[in-house]
Amino acid sequence: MTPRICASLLAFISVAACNEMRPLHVPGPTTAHPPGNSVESPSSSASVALLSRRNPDARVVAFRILFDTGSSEDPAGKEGLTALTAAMTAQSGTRDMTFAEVSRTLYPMAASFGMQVERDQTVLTVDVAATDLPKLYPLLRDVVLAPRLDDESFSRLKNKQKSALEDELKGSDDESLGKEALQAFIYEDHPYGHPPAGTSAALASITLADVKAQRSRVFCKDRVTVGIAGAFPEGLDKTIAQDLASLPACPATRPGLPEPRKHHGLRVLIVDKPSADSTAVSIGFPTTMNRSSDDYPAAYFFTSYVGLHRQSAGVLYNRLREARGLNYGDYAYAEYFDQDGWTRFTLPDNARREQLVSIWLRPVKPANGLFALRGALHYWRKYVEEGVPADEIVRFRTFLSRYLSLEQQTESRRLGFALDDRTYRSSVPFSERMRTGWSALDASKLKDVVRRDLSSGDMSIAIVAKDGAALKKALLSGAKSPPAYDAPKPKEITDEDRVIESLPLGLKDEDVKVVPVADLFAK
Amino acid sequence: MKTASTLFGFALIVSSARADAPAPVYKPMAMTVDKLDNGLRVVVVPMTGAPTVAFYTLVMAGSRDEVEPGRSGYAHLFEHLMFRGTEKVPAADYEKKMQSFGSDNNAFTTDDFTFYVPLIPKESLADLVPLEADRFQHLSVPPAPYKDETGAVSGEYNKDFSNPWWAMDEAIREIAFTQHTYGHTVIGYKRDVDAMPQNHAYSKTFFSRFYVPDDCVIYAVGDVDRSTVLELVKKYYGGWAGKRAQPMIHAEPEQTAARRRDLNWKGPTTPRMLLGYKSPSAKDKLADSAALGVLATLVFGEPSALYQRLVVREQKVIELSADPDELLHRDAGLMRIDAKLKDGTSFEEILGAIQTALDAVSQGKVDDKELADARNHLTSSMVLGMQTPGTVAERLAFLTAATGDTQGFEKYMQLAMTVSKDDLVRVAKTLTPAHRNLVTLTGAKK
Repeated sequence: MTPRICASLLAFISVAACNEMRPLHVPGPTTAHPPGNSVESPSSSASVALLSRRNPDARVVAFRILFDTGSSEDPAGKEGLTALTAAMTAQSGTRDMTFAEVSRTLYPMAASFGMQVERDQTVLTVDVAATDLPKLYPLLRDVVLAPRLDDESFSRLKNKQKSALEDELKGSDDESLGKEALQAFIYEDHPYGHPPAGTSAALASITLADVKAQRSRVFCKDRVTVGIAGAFPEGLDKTIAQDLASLPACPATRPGLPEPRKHHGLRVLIVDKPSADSTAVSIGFPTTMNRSSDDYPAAYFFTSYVGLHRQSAGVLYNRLREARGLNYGDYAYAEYFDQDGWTRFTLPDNARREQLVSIWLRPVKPANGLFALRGALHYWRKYVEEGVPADEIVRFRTFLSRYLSLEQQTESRRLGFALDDRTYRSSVPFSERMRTGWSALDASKLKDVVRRDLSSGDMSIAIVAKDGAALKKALLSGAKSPPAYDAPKPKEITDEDRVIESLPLGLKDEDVKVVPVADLFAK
Repeated sequence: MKTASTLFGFALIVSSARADAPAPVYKPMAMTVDKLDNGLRVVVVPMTGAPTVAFYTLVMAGSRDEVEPGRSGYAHLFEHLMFRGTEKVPAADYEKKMQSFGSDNNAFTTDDFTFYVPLIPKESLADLVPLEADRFQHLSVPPAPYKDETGAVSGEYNKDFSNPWWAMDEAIREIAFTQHTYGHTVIGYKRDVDAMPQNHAYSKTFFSRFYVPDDCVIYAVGDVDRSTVLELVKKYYGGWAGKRAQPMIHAEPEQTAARRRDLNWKGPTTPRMLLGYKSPSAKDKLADSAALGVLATLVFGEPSALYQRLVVREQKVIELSADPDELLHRDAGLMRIDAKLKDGTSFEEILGAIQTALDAVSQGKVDDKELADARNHLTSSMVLGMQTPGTVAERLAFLTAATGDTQGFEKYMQLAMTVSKDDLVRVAKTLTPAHRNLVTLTGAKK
């Protein structure tokens, strides 16, 4: 029976970068904030980089072995290779033990090696009861240093990744498909343009030799940081960092990224999916701002005000879902966002060298698809242009400052956030930096940041829907798109509807592209 | 106010040095259970670490309690409506107050229960309790916002049903349960969801039946102490009155022959199968539920012979799993096995392999070390999954709803840690083809 209803599954994937990141800007003048209880040490010839957070009172030990690589380093024609290499690392056994033997050893501890792969970061995660650490650590060390990478595991994990791409992403999850389609659109001919699972044709072409070569190229000594937190014995963190120093040196530094292709105004990618019973919409644009930017606290504040992820606090949620009943929720993000498992919180360790701002509408009835799109644009532009009222800033600051306390409840999540701070070269912990930034925020300062970072009218839109040709026609016609409601609405809403349903989109034929779902991420 | 009972909960795995030792040992953590005169139970679990409190409310009504035809999905709809305000605190004010607390506020619904899960910084507790007490006692949703919320539920249905798993879930319930209300999904049939906007009056009936003190349990977990919580709860919930209605939920007749339904999915997909063997009520037979949980872990877990053969060596199956939590249902339910097949693999072959593996257990072919490992895995998974106030409260509530007993989690853990080979043989004998339900799914050509 269904364990639960109101929760969404999230991808297995996420990650970041360090060595060859574009210069990251350390936030402006701040007082000397203590870095929490994180202890960092850089890499050396005898040790890899280390970030540890020892807490003898914890009952678990959490590992995050972070690699500065991700799907952006998939070779052309081998899209999906980094994710498959990561899976082979965690799930093929070790030089001394088969996958079955590793499974049998981990099983009574209820521990398992998870791999998150995103564009620029890959992280191996595992939580273990502190008392089981002596049994777990040798396995962890061996999967990192000497994964088995055998033929049998290769075919198994390749089939699994193929299924994740074709059955899950393309076949079963229109919400994630819309988000990936948006990125494919924004990052066309760019290393971010394909999902970590790759494309069908590329995945089919990947060989075990490719996996071994990719491991040597990117899962190497200079790219790894050992993250460890919880109740580990004193000194063990340094021992681990030394153990992993036997990883081979990286043959080359990470290549830089091109800038996303520029365009003017709105443009739309319709993923024509005949089996889609509802319409999924994602909207976004690339930005040079990221967590290390001075503007980030204010930008994060603004997107949270407009649409904090899966909370009922945001404008979009309130106006589109609560007031109109259009769908299940509507949100906005100042950076690429994944949800951590069943929670509603940010998944750590998926930092990127290039970021995007996005708006996500959960599926709406097809009849309301165009209205919902216009509605999201209407409210986004309204607050971008008019700003957030001063009293609302005060009220929302109280909420968000407190809400932030809930983000880091486990050893693993605190470690993940500390690793993100390190990635973005922030000497001040994320929560503290946000709160400090918000404490000085007023309507004028917020407006300045929004104008600088969030006011782009050059937005890309991805829509997953059936009958793409008809949708394209409707988009180009400029015709009104009145909403269909089950219940009468107050005048305040219907008056606003008259404005929204006529919102000009200014789309020309070349701005709207229709792609059959079968062709998306096919090659 | 009745006397408080103190018992011990879960907590720290101290571990077992011997592979065949009876699973993890616990370093007990204090947990108290109190009962108000109106029947409302209050569970308090102090936890150190983060300065947060999970102040969660369990309502022991889920889709199981939707007894009238055409009314599937109302427990879940109600989960949504509970955010729509009262006369004293309209929805917009409720939302603003929750925001002022810095709350992460949500809820979810299952077959057996609905769980409201506001998580807050500890300093907000005194302000949160009266707000929660008000909505549980005085919910007031006029027709217009009611209809808006049915739109959100419809959106959720549409979101879910882009995934074929939900169609398989709907189908296996239909073939497995001809009488019992487990025969319909939690979100409900599409036709019933579509009709919700016209059923405002019925929704009030549902509220009066189940949103009453003796059907609810409050969990306060985190940086709290019992006396503070009790003082607040007594003050704001003490006047709450009402008794739970007892809807007629028909017992499911004994299944005597295998059942099957084949589905065609509207898009391309690899073949999938969902198997459900009839399983006992956790309320009536918790020892059997625990034994079946260990059995599911033993037979379908990654190190198992079956998994290693089908998924790792022969690679006829891409994914194979059986979730032990499925055994934790109030009434007799299903032990579910989910498999995603490689193209070209026949359902019959996998069905045969699964039945053979289960038959082997019923014949006593169980390795002692593998049994110990499975017990350890099951119980350690539970404890490792309880690192935050929210996940602790959720797990405790889950077992309370399944067993009707606030000590259900502790009892389950004790039983799971001591499951023997004889226990496995006993429960495996019930997993016969006659008790089996199969749903297969094939898709359009890729």
